[in-house]
Amino acid sequence: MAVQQLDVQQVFAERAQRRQRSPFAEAFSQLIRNRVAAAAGVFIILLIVMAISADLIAPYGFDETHFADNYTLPGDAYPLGADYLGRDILSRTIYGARVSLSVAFIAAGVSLFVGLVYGIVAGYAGGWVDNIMMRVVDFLYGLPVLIVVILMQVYFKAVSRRAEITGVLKTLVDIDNSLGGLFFVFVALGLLNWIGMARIARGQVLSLKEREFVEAARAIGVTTPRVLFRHLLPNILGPCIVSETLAIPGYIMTEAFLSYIGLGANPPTPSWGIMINEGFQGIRSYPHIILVPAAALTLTVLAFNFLGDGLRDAFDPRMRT
Amino acid sequence: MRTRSRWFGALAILTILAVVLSGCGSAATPQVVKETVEVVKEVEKVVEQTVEVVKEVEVEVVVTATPDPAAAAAEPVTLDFIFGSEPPTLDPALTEDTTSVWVVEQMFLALTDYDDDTLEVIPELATSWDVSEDGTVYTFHMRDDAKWVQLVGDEVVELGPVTANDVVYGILRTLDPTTAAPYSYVPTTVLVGAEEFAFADTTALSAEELQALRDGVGAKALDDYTVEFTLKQPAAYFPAMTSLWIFRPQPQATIDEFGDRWIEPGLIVTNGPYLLQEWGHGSHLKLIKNPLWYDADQVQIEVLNAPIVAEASTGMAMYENGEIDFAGDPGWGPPLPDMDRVKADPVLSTELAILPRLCTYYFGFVNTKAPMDDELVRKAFSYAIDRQTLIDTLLKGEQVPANSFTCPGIFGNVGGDPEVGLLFDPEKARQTLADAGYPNGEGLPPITLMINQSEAHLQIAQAIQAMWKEVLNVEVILEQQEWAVYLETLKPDSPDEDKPHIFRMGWCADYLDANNWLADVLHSNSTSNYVRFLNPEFDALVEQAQVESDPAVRADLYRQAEIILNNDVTAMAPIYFYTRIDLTKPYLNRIVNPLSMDHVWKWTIDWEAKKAATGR
Repeated sequence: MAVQQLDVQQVFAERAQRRQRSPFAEAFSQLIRNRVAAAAGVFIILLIVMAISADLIAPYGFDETHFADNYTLPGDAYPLGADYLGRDILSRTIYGARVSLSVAFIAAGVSLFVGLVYGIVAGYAGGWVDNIMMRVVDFLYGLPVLIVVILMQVYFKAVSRRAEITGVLKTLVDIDNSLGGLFFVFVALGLLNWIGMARIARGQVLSLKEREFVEAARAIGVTTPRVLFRHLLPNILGPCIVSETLAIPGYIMTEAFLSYIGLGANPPTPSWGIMINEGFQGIRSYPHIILVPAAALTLTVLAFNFLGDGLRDAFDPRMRT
Repeated sequence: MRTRSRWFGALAILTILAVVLSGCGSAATPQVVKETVEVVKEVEKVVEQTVEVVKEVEVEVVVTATPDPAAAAAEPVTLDFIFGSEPPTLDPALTEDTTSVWVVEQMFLALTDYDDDTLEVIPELATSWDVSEDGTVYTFHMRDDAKWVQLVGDEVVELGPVTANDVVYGILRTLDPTTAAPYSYVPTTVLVGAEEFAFADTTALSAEELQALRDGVGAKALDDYTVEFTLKQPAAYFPAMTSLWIFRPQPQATIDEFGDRWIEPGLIVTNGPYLLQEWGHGSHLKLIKNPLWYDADQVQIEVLNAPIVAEASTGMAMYENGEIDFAGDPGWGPPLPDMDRVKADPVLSTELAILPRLCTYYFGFVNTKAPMDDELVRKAFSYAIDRQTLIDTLLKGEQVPANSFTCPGIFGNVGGDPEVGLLFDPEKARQTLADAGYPNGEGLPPITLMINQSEAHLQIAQAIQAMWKEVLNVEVILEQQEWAVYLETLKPDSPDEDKPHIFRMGWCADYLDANNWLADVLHSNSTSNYVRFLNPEFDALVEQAQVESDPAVRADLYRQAEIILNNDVTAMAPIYFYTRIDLTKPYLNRIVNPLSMDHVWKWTIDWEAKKAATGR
């Protein structure tokens, strides 16, 4: 008997110990066991460090021209060559990481925040409130993101040409110029991409809100906001972060696309999209100009995809061994 | 003509893949939305070209071998090339840009034409012309064997002779204020009554009054094949002006019947060496030889086959793959980054020709928009442009830095005159900007530089943007617009607040007189006066030059006008004088001129050699 009892205690103790590890810690340990995802994570961290310290590590300024050295092939003076204005491609690629990553994180942050709040409220409220809120989402889902972004860019660029603008518009335009023309790309991407997030969050809340721990919380008189954000939010955060990570490559590509067609960053801001555009024309004579930013863009998008896949597996209990 | 500067098509392939995997109700079950936006886009480019007058190309238009009829039926002699952009119109009255002009030239006859070698005015539809003693009445005698032709399916339909009435109808339709022709300003400087008619306020006039104005225009048909023009003042360049598209005969019955649609294949009625067979908007044009044209037996090339390709680099690839027979107007010359490779390549270098072209590339300041309304600011921006470095490092096509608007080769030009124009001088640039109240660029509001979408324009604009940053410490915002939108933004009557501070533009000669530059573009009334340069003193000079008959005096008047334009007021910053940069396959005998008015019916292809080279 005694022995048996000890076993039972041990089992419970182990379970308790395991519970002490948060779902995030659990997921993290899963994640680092996935080598591809871990490598992608390391790559992204290095990229972030590179973007933040661009001023220190880039050999030249991103808009520093050396006309006499244009089209220089990779060598001592320019490790990855120089473009058609004699600007160092390595430096521009390093600074370009700032653009891509800030688009990625700002758009992802806005979309995660707005989508989560909206989805949780809709799912928890249920009934007609849910119905109305989700019809709004359905409506927004019909808006083509790219076209809205393009319209906003065109409109605000026209506004910024007006000499006499004042007030809020002036502030917005100033912010836009200081961000190299990308402010409205951030805004539009963030504002239109939360809808997917809202659906996920709502679905999760619908399935969780009838569970015992929520019932229990309500039974002991926990306020609704506290139920939402203390009890429900932590339980749905995992899948939402996974989904957002997988959406990031889309944001990066959208920015690159807009910049490529001249509606994104203002030249000479070194967006990778702009650099690819600039390299494209000379692709038959100077392929190195397009290869570097294209490789940077591809690797970054790939890394976020691998990381997202890894996170999805890590948060999936059925994948746990 | 306005330089075809195009923007380029953006081909966007947008794939949105949304996979929603929803799991069961467990708290930790991931529900994943995967959304990938994949965008592929291609960009444009532009290469603009050329200048100058002297060119030695032997014109050999004799067609020797007549192909075997059976073989010819199976495989017509075909010229393959590309257009760099969709022609905005094929209507001679509405044409203003180089692409449309190029196509119109193949399809519509003018009274006169240019000789490819000498650029002298030669007869085309007119056989000869007389000038009155005082030089103000021109009488053109027309040939009677030109025919209106319509291509319906594969059937060539003859629709009667081209008469003097068609010529008069053409110019009156161009001038008619309801047509809103972009080039209507040009004839108003010479033709009697044209100004009154073209600028009439149609809302305020009765039909009779409008008809009276129309009848007052100095263009009359004396009989079926004689047309008379009455000028306000003697103008030696008038016969050259009648070669322009706006003076060409137009088919009234067709235009009345079909309205704006009359230029579509199957409806369009033309009279020139080639007929429009297909026009896939945004995709391709196909022209075929007009068998009823009076000189049809002299025309060797039977089919002109030309897709529209928006990127110079794609055009270059097609040329190198043997898909097109030449690279150059109306498509693309070699892209800027390929210039060095082309010059070094043993084959391509022999196919490269850099010839004069009568065009000027310029940056215009919107003179009425602050702070560009301050001439010191404009001067500072012009002084800070290092044109020679731009040409040496980026353009590499033997272009010449521009000190004046009118380019060399035009009567009255002052290209290269050391006393005209502002050249690169960083010290003066900084000093002038400081004098304007913006030392080291401080206090200057954000300046917008706008270009029409094109890789070459973007490269040039970024280079100059970097020069302004380096010399003046001014951050200029660069903005791009699609060509049609761009022209709308810059139109003289668009609101200044929607305009940029600085914009790029080009102007190409329509006829070889400075009147075509200084009056047609920069007179206060001109519909091409994008810079909003409104200067009574300048207007008086160019008007005086129009009525002056002594060439030496005229040249001096134009010189004074250029000094006001470039030195005193600095309404614009001319950048460079173009060259025409072409690649031509050895089997194509292509005769070109500095006006880019190509006469394809005079070209010949060594068809056997082309078949061998392209493996047809």
